[in-house]
Amino acid sequence: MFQYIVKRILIFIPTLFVISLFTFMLSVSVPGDPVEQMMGGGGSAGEMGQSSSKLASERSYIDKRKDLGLHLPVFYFALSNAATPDTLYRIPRKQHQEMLSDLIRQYGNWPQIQSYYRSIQQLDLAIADIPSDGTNGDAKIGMRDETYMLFIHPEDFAISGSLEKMDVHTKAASSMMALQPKLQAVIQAYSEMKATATPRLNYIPSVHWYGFDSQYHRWITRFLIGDFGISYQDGRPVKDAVWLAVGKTILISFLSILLTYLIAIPVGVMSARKRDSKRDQIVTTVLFILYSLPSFWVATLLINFFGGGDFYDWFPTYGLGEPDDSIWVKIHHLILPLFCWTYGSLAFVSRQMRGAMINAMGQDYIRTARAKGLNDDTVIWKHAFKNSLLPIITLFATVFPFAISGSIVLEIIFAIPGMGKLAFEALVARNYPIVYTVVMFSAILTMLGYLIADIAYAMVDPRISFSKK
Amino acid sequence: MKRISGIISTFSLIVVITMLLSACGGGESSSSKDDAGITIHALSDPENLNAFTSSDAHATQIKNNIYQRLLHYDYATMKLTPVLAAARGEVEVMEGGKGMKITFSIRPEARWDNGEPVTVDDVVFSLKALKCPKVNSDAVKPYLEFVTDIQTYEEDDHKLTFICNQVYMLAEHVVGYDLVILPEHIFDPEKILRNFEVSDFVNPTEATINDPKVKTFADAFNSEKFGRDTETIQGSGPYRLSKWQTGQRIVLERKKDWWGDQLEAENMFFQAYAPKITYEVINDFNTAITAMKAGKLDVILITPVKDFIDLDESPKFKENFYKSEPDMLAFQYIGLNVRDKILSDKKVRQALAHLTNVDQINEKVLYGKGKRVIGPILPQFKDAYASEITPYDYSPEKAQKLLSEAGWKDTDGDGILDKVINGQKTPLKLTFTYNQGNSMRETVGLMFKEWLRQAGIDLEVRSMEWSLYLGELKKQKIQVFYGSWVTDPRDDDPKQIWHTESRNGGSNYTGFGNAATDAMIDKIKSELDQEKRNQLYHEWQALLHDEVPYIFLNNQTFRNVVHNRFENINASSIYPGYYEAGFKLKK
Repeated sequence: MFQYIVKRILIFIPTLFVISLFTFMLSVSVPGDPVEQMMGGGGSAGEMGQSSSKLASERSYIDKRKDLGLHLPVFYFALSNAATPDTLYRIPRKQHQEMLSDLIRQYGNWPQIQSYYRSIQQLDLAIADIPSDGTNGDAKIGMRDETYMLFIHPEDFAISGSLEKMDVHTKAASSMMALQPKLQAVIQAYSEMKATATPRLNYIPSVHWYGFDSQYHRWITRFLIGDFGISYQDGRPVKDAVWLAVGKTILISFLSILLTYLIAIPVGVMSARKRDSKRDQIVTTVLFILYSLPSFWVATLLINFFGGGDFYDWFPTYGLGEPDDSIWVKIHHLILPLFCWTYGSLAFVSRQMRGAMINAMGQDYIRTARAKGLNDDTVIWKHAFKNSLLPIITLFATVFPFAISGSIVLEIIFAIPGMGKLAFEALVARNYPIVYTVVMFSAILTMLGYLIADIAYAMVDPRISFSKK
Repeated sequence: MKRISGIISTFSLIVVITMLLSACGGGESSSSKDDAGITIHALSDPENLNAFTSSDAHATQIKNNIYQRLLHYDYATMKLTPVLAAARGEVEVMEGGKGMKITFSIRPEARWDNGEPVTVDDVVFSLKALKCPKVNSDAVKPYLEFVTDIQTYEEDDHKLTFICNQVYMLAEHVVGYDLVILPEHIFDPEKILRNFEVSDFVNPTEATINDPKVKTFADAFNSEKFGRDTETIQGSGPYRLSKWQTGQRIVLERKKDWWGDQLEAENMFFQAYAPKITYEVINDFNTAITAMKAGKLDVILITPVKDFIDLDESPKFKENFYKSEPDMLAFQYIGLNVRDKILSDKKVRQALAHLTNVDQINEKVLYGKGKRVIGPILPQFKDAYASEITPYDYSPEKAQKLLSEAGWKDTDGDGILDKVINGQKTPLKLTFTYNQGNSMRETVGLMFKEWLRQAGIDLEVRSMEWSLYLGELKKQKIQVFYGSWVTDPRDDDPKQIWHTESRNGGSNYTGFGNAATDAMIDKIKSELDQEKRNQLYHEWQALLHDEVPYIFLNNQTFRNVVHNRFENINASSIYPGYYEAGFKLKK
């Protein structure tokens, strides 16, 4: 048995590793730039400030990116092709990175692509330096627009269109002529990029090794020593945020599971004993009706009718009470949420119990037990019940992770600051440190749930044994 | 059998007992008639309560009771009113229009919690902290970029002059209001920032940015300590943060001997009566409204229009509450990408404006609560508002005429107009985009689609996830979109939305503007004379009305509900529509 547990725990490690990889990679590939998001909903810095702020805002962007560790390569190595350089991750703006990778797919000659990109940057800075003099206003605006287009558009027709327009703009006013050399440099770099294209490099696979200084490595090593990072939204350590939330969710989930089993198991056993009686039919129907009612709707109805609105003021409708409230006040707060958390699973668990029980009661050993003259209760509880517990244990394993992840909808309706709410708000705000932590813990608990279920199998049914005989 | 029923009956016994408990317990936190404490609904926690690093409206509402500024907007008149400053700033334009100086005197009575006076040092510290590299103040930093120094005076430690490197119409507003004044002895006890001058943080050098002292200060300033800690979050305002239970409530306690009490007659910012303010977090409106009816919330700002209207049916509401609906400082619009191949034609944009039935949007979507606006200047700014402009009426005939003038005809009889653009036959097909999950915007999109269909224009309505939507807007890749802006209680600075420098990655989502409009914006920005500026605003609105980069729709009202034991709520256009500190029990 002990050996088995150790073995199972060892299998956890690669599984967790794969899960952590998946969550991490997914977060990297979703659209949206977390740095821009953090900088006041998306870099308003550039637009409000004065002329000098262009470089300043670029710098604070780069700064913040570095603070978040996003300037590092994503993973230990990259499976890529011979055309893609191993330094593409160093380009700060995500949009520019995307444009450049597209160019690489088209032309495959990184040195030329890079000098094309640099020539645009040079031009961009040069435009800002041209003084406005009343004659060049529109031309300058035009140049700025087209440079921006070059930064985000990799398509051939878009680039040549922009370059043509830029040529017109630089000739529109005498002061703009100063930009001609820079523009010519862009045109030159562009035609060279096209002329020396080697798209075939895209088909030659290559592996870039980045080593341990990568975003993933940084995150996973810190995670393992219990440093989950800092929440992007409010600057709190993730550990504190999760710790606060998890207690509330576990309390409710635990009570809810307990209640479910306390009610559903006797009901299931009873239904099995009086199979197809009036009573069984009524109980089954009621439970299935409950099962089919969506919990958010029931929750809203309960709040409206019993929460002191225009009907009955029986229950508080939000929160879990103050920390220094008496236990009764806390229970009072818990009744409505607990009901909503629990009623749906009653039908499921009791049906499982009923099925397993009916199955068990048809077995030979039950007949033997009855033949021995044991009384009915002993037969049911000691013999049949114990043998019908397996499906209930399996169910428990699946319930376990939910106990931690909580219920998003119900937590929001009852204003309970638990894990569901935390994870949901973090997801919406792209607050990855919290998302990673919640996902990882759910994964760990799912695996623990199955492990506990397996051990419990062996305990209720001695025939199941995981040790080698 | 007995056993089972035993378990069930034990359970039902528990239920009965708790029911009984609940019946005799009553609402444990119900507010009684003579309770002067206020409980205010909050949809969520603020990010944090740091003076500079959080900028959401909810955080600002709470911080307004803790911290003070030199000036604040009077809630009734929306005019700047002295708070920490003894009077409005004295503005002086420097020679040759190179910049301006604004001089303030701090009230001699002003005190921090330890009894020390608020001095010029605190103001200088606050400006440095805001400008300090690595401090997460990116939301406010750019606004104060034009403030390059503070001049202090040997003979008077309460007098100071802000030096600005340009002439800006809102300069007094920015230094007076945007700069929150913090106690140096709490936020920088080691006086780290005294090692730097304000000018060091204006275009800071690499050496300054990488200075370990800067990092030490910024790390501390950005930390939880100054964002959530009840010990360290303190200012010169009438309230102290006494409790923050994450995700549940924030409680502010009135200071017993606050320095401002002696100035009660001065203005509304010295009239803080509520002994305790609680912000109760409830994420769901239905739950919050029920809690309000049960007497657990005193003030609630209700966003869903229907819920607000339905309150009239509730006897409990009518018995204990009243509604307060001041106009908001916000407007909604349909944005048109003026650099788009089809929409770059002004006539097409005007035709679309004639095809928008704003009255119907107001009636169907806002239940008649909207008020039509004609431009980005809101009617609350009476003198700047161009009341002479008649909004585009809903008129398919006029639209038809404009479209055919622009060359759009249905040549192939497929019911959709077309035109040859750049040698290519182009059908008049447009795409309307809104952010996912916003059902009101979706409804407007579908109504718009129907109006356009009748005129022979095909409109595709699609939604996009929020951050993706924002990204595409900034790249001006969206043709037609639905948006709204919330404005400040100050004259509108058109630069953010309309200047060409704000397109390509900024908030000028429509790509509007050319050298002439830029020049006009710059002129408005640097015009200090209110009369002349109002004149410019009138021209500006006429121009936007003619160009139609936006189809301007509606302004709305705040939908506040307040318990009827309170008066003196200072109903206002300023968010959230009331000033909670001033709430007074009715006699």
